[in-house]
Amino acid sequence: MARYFFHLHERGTITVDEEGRVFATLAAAYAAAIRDARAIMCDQLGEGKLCLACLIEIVDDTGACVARVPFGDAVDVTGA
Amino acid sequence: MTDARHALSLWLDRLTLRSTLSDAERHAILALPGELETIRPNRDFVRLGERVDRACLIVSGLAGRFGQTRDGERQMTALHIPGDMADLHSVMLPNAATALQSVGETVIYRVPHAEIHRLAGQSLTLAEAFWRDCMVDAAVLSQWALVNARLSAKGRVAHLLCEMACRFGRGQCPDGGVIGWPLTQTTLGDTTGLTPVHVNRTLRALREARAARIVDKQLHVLDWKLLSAIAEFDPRYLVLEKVD
Repeated sequence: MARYFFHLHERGTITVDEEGRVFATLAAAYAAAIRDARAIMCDQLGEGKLCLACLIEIVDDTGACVARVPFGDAVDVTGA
Repeated sequence: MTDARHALSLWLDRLTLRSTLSDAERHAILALPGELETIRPNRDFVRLGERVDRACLIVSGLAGRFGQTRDGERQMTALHIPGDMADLHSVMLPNAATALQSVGETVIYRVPHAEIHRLAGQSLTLAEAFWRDCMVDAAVLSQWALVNARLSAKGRVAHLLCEMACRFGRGQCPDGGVIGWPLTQTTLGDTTGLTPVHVNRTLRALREARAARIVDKQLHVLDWKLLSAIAEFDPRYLVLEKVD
């Protein structure tokens, strides 16, 4: 089990995760980030916007970036 | 005063906020027997589907009532503060359709159902006070259903902050008010139906709007009028007064 921090990069601003969450594997943390990205995209859509370039940066407890999850990776867009 | 007696006096305060009790009825509440138990953070102390024969009075800390999907996703359906009998309804419905977990470290006092039945049998006024206490929980849950289904992320989080500030402050919530806030982003998300990063983003928006700020496990209400406007908050559903 390890603690990962999920920093949100959104149109020039960074929302820092100071608390983090514990996951058994990085894959599990990545899956959580995908869920987080989709939830935020739903919120953006509610305001008539969508930012596929926004991303969640997953950082381990040494501060090292272990994964980046652009919102575009969390959604399959068709018909655009 | 022992922890148990202190918790029973907080529950008595909650009951007498809405119901009028005689001296004898007050003493009967303060004399309720039970067992103190310390629960570590984030632990279930009433499991889903468990048949219980005791109700849990919160002595210190914070407890969440929850249901869970097959995937293990939790939804909090109530938060209980010190002085709340978190599952008084279990006296009538002992097969726990909903479960209870600690949020931070929490101390509870488990009171046998038989003792609550005994008091209700002895005094119609006490029975009605218990009934009213359950109905307040139901009124809060009705409001949560509306808020979590229909308000935006910002509205949902603001509403919960307003509610907790009101409950701890017994309705008084001036600008600059500070209350202890043991909830993690995950628990706050489980309460409002949001993911943790979304919760963090929403808290940032409330901070930047100078409505409220959570830092070092404390909620600071910066602008009550603004926060309650974002939340469309009307405290009447909390029934913080005598019911005639």
